[in-house]
Amino acid sequence: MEHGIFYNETAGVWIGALLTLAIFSFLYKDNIVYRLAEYIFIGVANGYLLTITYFNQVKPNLVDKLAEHNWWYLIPGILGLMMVARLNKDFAWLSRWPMAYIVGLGSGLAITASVQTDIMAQIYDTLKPIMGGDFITNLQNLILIAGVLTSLFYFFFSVEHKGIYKNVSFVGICFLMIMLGGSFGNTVMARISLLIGRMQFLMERWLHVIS
Amino acid sequence: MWEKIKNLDKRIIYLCVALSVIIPMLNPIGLPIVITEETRRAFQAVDNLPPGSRVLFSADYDPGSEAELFPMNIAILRHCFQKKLRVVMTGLWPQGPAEMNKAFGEIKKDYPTLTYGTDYVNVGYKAGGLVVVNSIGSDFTIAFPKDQAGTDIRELPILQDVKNYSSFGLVISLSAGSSGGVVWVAYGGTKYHVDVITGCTAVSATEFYPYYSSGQFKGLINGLAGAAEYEKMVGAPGKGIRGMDAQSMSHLVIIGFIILGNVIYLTEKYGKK
Repeated sequence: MEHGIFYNETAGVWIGALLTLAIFSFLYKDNIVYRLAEYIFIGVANGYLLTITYFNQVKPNLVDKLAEHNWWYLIPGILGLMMVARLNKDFAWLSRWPMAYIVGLGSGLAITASVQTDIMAQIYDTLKPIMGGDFITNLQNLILIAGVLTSLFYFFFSVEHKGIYKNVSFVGICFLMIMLGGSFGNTVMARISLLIGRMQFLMERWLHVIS
Repeated sequence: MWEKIKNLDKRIIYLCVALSVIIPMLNPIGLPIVITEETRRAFQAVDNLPPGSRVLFSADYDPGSEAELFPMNIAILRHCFQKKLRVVMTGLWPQGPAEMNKAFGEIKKDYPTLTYGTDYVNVGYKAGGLVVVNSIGSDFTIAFPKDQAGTDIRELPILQDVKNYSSFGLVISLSAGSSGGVVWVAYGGTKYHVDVITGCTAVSATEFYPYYSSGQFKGLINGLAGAAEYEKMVGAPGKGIRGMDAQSMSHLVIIGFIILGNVIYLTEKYGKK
């Protein structure tokens, strides 16, 4: 017990195991034990975030700087306090100034990067040859191009989806459905992985039935 | 009978899924693990770096995603030290650096000669996401003037000559969402031309694949399955490989229920006609 009870591993494992079982109890039905575990999680997570944000951000970037008489840092400090003014409806308008700064900075940074990363690079990746390579590569490239064009067409609402347009739109829907199927499969895999992680914890660290 | 199955208590389904996870854990089957191209490329991106190269390893997740990302965190970290790379750990999520410390704690006994400040360092969490990633491109020391313990990074041999992304051979992001891999690609990879690989939760994978396909990610490790593949390539079986039997069995159970549901639906639909 060098560091006291909060560093005792056995106690930590037991608390973790009991809270895990409390969360699992929701699968039977909603109950007070589940809610208690949920509230503990939210409280601990927020407490941790608040603490770590203060010691990693506010203290080194503001408090310490002001302590060293770097008075320029009063400006972001005041802007930060103006954000808190949202809590009072009479002074809520003050928060618009730091908000404007954040939105302006964020947009300025994001627009360029989005155009380069999400638009130009993706368009470039779609411009692929459908002849000249081996059969499989050509076919894959053709499917990719057809998928992009027909999916985009599905979201093109300036023409009524009738006749040939309806057929193209239908192909687009098929591609979107395949994408959603893939996404759903990955989601299932992720959720099962979480269950596996908890089961590994319970069986390995708590019950010691697997090594 | 169809009616009974149709109105099956969902708790029975939960029980079946739970058993499909528990039983393979108690009695491992040892199903084969096939290495996918995206995981192989991630492995090669690390493997091809010359010894002594510096990698920026960011844990952009919290304990909620540990089941998938922690096994790959350990495997990649082990691979880095096998290759004698110098690892600069960070995180765009508040608990990320703690996850890095935890992963290092799991393998440190295998690398007793590693020295903090020379072979690895943890520069901690910095709020801001894209602003942090962007500012590393200008000057790493502005983004991270001190390490997690508060030591000036100029006093640490591993970071003495660090400038910006040009000082790193590779950026690795283990990503549970935003901020994560996409931010590293957009503000590090695309803008400053540093190679980026990512490991992501399976939920995020469909969002990440276009960036891998376009070559913006040099490699992509997808969920627990990807972690198992990486562990296999590193030659150090861990929680990823151990979880794969359970993963496969539970998927079979879910597929079984989906097929059963569709059979009932089609039987009812065409049986009435």
